Amino acid sequence: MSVANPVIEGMDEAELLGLVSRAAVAAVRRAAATSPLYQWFYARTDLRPERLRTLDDVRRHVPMVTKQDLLDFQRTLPGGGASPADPSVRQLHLTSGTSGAGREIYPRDGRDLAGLGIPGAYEYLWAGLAPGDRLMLTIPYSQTMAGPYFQETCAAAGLVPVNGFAGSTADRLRDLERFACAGISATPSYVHRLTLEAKESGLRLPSLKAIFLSGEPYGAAWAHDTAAFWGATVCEGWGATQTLGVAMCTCERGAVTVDGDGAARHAVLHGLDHRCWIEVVHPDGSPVEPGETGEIVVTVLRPSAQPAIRFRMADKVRLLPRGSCGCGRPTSCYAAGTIGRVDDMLKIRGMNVWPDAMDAVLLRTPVVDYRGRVYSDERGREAVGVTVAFAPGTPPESVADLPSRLRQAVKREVGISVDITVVDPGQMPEQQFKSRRWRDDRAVREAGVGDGRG
Amino acid sequence: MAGGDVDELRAATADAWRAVERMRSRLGELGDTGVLGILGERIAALLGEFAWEVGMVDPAAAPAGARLDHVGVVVRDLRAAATLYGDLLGGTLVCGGGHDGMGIRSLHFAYAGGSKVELLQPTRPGPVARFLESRGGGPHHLTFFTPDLSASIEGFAGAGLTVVDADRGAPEWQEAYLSPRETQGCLIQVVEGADIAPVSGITVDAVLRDEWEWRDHRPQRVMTEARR
Repeated sequence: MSVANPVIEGMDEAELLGLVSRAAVAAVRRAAATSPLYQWFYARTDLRPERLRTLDDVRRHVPMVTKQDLLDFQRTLPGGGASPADPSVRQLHLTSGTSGAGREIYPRDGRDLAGLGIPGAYEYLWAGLAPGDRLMLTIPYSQTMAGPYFQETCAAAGLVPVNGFAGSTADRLRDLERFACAGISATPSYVHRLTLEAKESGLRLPSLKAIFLSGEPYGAAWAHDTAAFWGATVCEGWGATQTLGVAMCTCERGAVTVDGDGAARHAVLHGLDHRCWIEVVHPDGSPVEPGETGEIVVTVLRPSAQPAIRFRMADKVRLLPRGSCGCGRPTSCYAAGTIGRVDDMLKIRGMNVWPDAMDAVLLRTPVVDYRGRVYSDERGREAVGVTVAFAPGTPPESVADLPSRLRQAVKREVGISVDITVVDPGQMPEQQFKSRRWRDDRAVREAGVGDGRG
Repeated sequence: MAGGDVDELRAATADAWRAVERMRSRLGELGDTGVLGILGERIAALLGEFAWEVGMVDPAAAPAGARLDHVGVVVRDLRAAATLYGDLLGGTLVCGGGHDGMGIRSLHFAYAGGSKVELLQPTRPGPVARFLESRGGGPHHLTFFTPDLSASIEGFAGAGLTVVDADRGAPEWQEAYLSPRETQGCLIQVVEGADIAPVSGITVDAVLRDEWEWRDHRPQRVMTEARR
């Protein structure tokens, strides 16, 4: 068994839960005493932090916050929640704003930056990577928190990051081979594309030990075939800007396992409980039972310039009983491969895309309706096709330049490139659910990639 | 990791935390310290992460009591004692040297877990020589390191104990003693300062040849001119 931290992994469940309980109570008290956001938020409640003693107290008495609460709070301050006068702030991270609801601002202090990469190091070390191993990063450095996060995680694990941000897929495959990379970090969709191109070129990478997925759900069969093709462990990590890095990740057993009958199934994500307390709740906030799916609520236990205390993530996961993995670690457990959204947000090429934001761009005169489809093209690339219907009687000259105008508007306001097809209203493709304009047909969701070596 | 090992790791982390806090406090007194201040902040942040990863929710809240650094043992034959405490008991020689003012020659041996023994051999008449004559040698003193000597002295005074000798002349080494008459038979030395760092290149033979001496509270090679 790979060990990332013998102290934490050597704890029994009671000891770990005791640590989480003490840390959660301390985190709430600290936030109530020092965080402008939580002071503002708790002032509207009857919370008495000094009375909290246990994790159960925190569950029962501390209200959950949402992204909307944070945005509302940041609108109340000229500095947007990050006081320009605060000398302890070392970085400001802004979310992309593609929701259309506003950009969240996350001030980071020295403690945040020191701890940023540590949780992710567990994912890499548990997967069997060792200090000095090379890891290719394909997530662009410029993208909000993700770039700094991946760099710092390599540093915390002693890995050598190989930046694969620029260049073509062929360039990346060549660099994976040239630098004898032991790992690659990418979205499932991008790994799919790499796999197709590697198959075509006949490339094999004997040095590759692990493939680290994040950002979108994927099918167990696809993960199994991918692992077999590369001869590497497929791993997964989940985290967010609010959690300051990974909050749950797979261990050396990987993200997919094979049943006795030969069927692939999703394996287990471990909660990094000593850094981030994870709750899984029903829409009304009550906890789900093991085996049920619910929304992820996080409490970051380390001190931070922007604490997250019972923060509703709008991501959903299936809670599993502790010990589900069988590796012996004392952590909480969750189903790998299935983390999705409780709302209708889509993750496309690493960007958060909300249908509401697309509606706001597309549903303008002369467009009366549209349908969107995310899919994998023949080379495994994530593609977005949008079919728009224009109002009867629209002058032909307006229809002619409609695709190019809409393409530019979507790129500018939502941040993704799309292909636009214009049709008459009567030719609009049928959807299974009329209320939903978007379909996600990406290959990684269900099907395997086939003819694996394993 | 065994529970005892984890406890020792946490205790060492708490020591480091207090040392860094002391360092940053001194920096703060200096005013604008530029990169030193930022480096201090980053060291503290990394140490905070380390503390968290060994399961300490608040390293500043760890017990801040004194830490036993070593036991001083007076011996007649330093070479024979070095054989016993070093070769036979597995101690590692970490420092030593002559101290003309105190009339002694000493060797510090460190053991698993961090405990240490200081062997003291008198080189001329004085308190240590008298101890050897009157008792025939044996345990002589206990040396504790404290994060706050003033607080320790206040505590002794509050308990009715009298500090018989205090030296606060050097910021890196401040010490006070409690007489055996007030401690039921044991001389106690309490020190606020940096740990006595291991010295590379030191040997028992070199100390016995008086090639090392205690200066500024640390072992240093005797300068050739001085030896001549």
